[in-house]
Amino acid sequence: MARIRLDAVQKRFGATRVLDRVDLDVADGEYIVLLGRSGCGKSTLLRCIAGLEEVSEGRVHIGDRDVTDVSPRDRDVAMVFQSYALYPHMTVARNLAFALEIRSRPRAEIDAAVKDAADLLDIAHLLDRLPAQLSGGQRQRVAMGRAIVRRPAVFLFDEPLSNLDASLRHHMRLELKRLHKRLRGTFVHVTHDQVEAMTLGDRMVLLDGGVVQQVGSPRDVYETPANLFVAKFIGSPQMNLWEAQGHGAHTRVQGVDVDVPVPADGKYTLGVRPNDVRIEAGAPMTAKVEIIEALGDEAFVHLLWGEQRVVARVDPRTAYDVGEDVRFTFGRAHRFDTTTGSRLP
Amino acid sequence: MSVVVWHAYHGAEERALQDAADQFEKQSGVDVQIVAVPWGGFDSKVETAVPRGNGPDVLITGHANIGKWSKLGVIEALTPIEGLRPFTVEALTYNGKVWGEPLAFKSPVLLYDPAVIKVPPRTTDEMLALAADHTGPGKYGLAYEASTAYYHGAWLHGFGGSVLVDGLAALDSAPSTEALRFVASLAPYLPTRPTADRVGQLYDDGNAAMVISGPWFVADRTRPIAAATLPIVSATGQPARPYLTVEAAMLCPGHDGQALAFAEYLAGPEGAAIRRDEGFQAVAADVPLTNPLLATLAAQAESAVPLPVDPDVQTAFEAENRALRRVLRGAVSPENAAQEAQAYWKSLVKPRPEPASPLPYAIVATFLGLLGAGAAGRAIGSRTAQIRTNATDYLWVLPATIAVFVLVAVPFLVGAGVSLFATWQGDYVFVGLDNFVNILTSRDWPLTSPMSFFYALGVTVAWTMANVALHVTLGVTLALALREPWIRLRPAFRALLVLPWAVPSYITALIWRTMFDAQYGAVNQLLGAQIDWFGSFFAAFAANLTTNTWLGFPFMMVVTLGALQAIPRDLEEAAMIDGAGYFTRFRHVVWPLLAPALLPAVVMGSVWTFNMFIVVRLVSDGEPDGATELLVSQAYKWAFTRGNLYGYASAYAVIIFFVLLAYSRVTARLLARNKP
Ligand SMILES: Nc1ncnc2c1ncn2[C@@H]1O[C@H](COP(=O)(O)OP(=O)(O)O)[C@@H](O)[C@H]1O
Ligand SMILES: [Mg+2]
Repeated sequence: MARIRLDAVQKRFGATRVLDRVDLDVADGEYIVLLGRSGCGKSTLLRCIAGLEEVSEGRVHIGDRDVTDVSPRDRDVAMVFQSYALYPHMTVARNLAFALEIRSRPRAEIDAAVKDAADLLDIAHLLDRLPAQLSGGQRQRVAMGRAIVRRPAVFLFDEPLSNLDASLRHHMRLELKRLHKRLRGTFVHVTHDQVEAMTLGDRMVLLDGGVVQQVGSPRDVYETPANLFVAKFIGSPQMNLWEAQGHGAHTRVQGVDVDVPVPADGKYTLGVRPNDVRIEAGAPMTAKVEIIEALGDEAFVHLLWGEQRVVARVDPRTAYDVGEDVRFTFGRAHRFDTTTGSRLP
Repeated sequence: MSVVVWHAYHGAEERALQDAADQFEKQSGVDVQIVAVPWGGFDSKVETAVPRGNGPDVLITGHANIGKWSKLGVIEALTPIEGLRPFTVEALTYNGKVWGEPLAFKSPVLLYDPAVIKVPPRTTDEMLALAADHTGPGKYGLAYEASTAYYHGAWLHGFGGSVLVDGLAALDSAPSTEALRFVASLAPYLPTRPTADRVGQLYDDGNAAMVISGPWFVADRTRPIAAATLPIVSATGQPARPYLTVEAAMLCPGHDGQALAFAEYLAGPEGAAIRRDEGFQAVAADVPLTNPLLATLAAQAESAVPLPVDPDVQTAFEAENRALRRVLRGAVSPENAAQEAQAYWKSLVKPRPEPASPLPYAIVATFLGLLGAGAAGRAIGSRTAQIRTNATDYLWVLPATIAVFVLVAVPFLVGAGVSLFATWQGDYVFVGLDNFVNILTSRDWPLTSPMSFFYALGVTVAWTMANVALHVTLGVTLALALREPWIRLRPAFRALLVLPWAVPSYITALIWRTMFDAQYGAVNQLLGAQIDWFGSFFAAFAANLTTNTWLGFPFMMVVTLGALQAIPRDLEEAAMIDGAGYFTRFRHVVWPLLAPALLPAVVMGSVWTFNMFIVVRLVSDGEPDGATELLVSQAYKWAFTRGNLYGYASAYAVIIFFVLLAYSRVTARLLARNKP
């Protein structure tokens, strides 16, 4: 029973406001990812859930309890720090056992729990080593082991994969997913990496400047970004964005009539993901190929469309020449209010 | 040519001396240079400068040193002028010769507050009755430095005793015991263990009705004060006979031809009149002394006893001081104190040591020297190429090497050399390792006596451990507290807490000494208690410990603050989430990471504490009766207050060196093991 609920949580350090009225409801057993740029307040939010920071205003609930004024050790949470924070003077075994030892659990129970965790994470052969004698990936596993050995209701991960190299990171992503299935706890995972967020999260929370921008499943967030910030942040390469002028059924972008299936009047920002830029003979708009980016199983062409740039995802097997003129059209398009950034219908 | 004069006067006496010198210059055309030398360093300065030809032509000082100085050849005999009080000439006579022109005489007299005491006591019974009448809370009927043999002399002689009889101490004689008994009867009316300054302050505050002191005391007073001769000892009918000091102008060897003329002028009627009228001196010249204080001094001089010139008197005084302290504290009966004092004196005054044959030592030394030279030669030989290529580097470190050699190695070697000698009445006798054997087998004292090496070692070790434990506990606690975010003004606290470290430690020690004063000390006032802090071992040890903890914790605090910075905060947060409370976190996470960083500081701190001379010297000064003495302060006492046993003291120092060397070897290994 570990639903997490944040009610209008605010956090200030002196005069700087780091979290601004954050409301969040995480279901029991859900894997939720907090995503945002460095410095946006992700760690602070996580630490507020853990109890390492007191909230300046608002309430924090875990399970049925209001834990706003409860100390971290009584919140039944475990946390994996970005630095791993392994106790350097203790062996791996003692690092894992520490939480149970100070709770004076029977020895047999402790040993069993340590063994389970070690087996689960494949670190049984490291139990007698000191943290200094481990590789980065091994430390990361020990840190996770320390979190799961106690079987808490809530697991908190602060950028757990960011200190790993790319291949290991990929591997550990799968591991985390597996672990979540096995443990069925509530996972809160902080990251600045959208791929991590997209692949791991049941839902994700986008944060910017301490304000929640959007909460939703990865699919939702990708397909219907709530505002310009989310639209820019999610998706790689970034969504194409232009200033547009609508006249009823017509939309003009830099003097060209664009065929957008949504009628509107006045100025707005038009957004089209590279996926939705279709290059085909006989399409209504023309642009010049500027750069070709081939990544093996996918490719992007950067087009010069008058003064503007357009990025399009293309079949890597189709050959384009730099300087060649191509014709293109849009599939799905997004519209945003230019001044407020929020999504227009 | 000019006549150079050294003196230790200040105030009116110094001005009078200068005026007399000016007059002499005017009359004779001889240039006279008057040089003031601080009183505390006067004797040692004379003893080092004069034999090297750097001394003055004339010394003006008390007569007590003429025995030693005439032997050392620091002063020359002369024929005194006519017209001097005979007792002043007598005091300056040693081995049948007169060693200076007597200038003035001084002795303690009875000083009293004329506003309170209308008629000064004529007998000791009257004095006791008056003292009783004027003693009350915070008020003392009589105040003087009762636990010093110098002031005690008045009673000792009044009872018919003497410190030395035929050059031997007579501390357990019947008169000595009676005098101690008499002092014990005074104790209820006396302040505890007062210093001269304290006595003066008591008088100025109107809290002392009677004082026993000399003319120097009168000069510094802010309130009216009257003088009378000391009372007659009721038990014997004899007057109390204080020690008399005769100040004289003494001639140094190789003095200027005019030096004698100046000394004679100073002692003669004209110089005497200037000194009497401007310097308020009781002059030795037989001129009238009408000022009431000077008249009293003259009257007192009739019964006074010149301070003995025998160098051995210092040792007897040391033993007598101890007896007085113990009697005044009520630790022993006067009878026992007298016997203990005599036994103590015997243990201090050793018979002339048997010289040892230097031959075996010379052989061993030569052998070791050759061995060392061989090893050095081989070391250099195997590295000639390296030395040659790095010649400039060696040149660069040469000045530092020489400095270390001169400042560290040479004094150490000289000290180690001295430890092979016994000093006996100023002579050095080669005794080999006898001093070491004596110390390490505790030949002169039972192991449990505060004078034994092992007792002092035990105290020193206990002292070091107690201090380091307190410094670390306090330092770490405060450093942890300073980290807490709820403490406001942290930088201010940090600065404040480092302050005890920034103040010179001797000043701190003196302040604490005052604060532990039994009667006026802030500590007793805060505790609302009447603890005699230097009357028992544990109290005195606690006083020293408190002072040194005050001095020592900031260092540990600063080191801890630094070490804490190196412990990542998230380790503690991880432990917090793991379920650890404050103390569990400290015990299992912070302390294990802090301890290795503190270890070097603990090693350094323990060595400093082991040799913490200043605190012990200035706070308890070994009280009670040497029980709180450390090895270093014990060595100091042997060298400077218990008969200048330099060889014995050096042996102590060498042993301390080896104890610390062994300690540093052990800790070096510990530190090495601690390295990751
Ligand atoms: N203890 C603190 N005191 C003051 N400012 C802080 C503190 N902790 C974090 N901040 C500020 O809060 C903002 C958010 O920090 P953080 O939550 O660590 O960001 P993120 O984890 O998203 O990179 C940053 O601007 C950071 O400087
Ligand atoms: Mg962060």
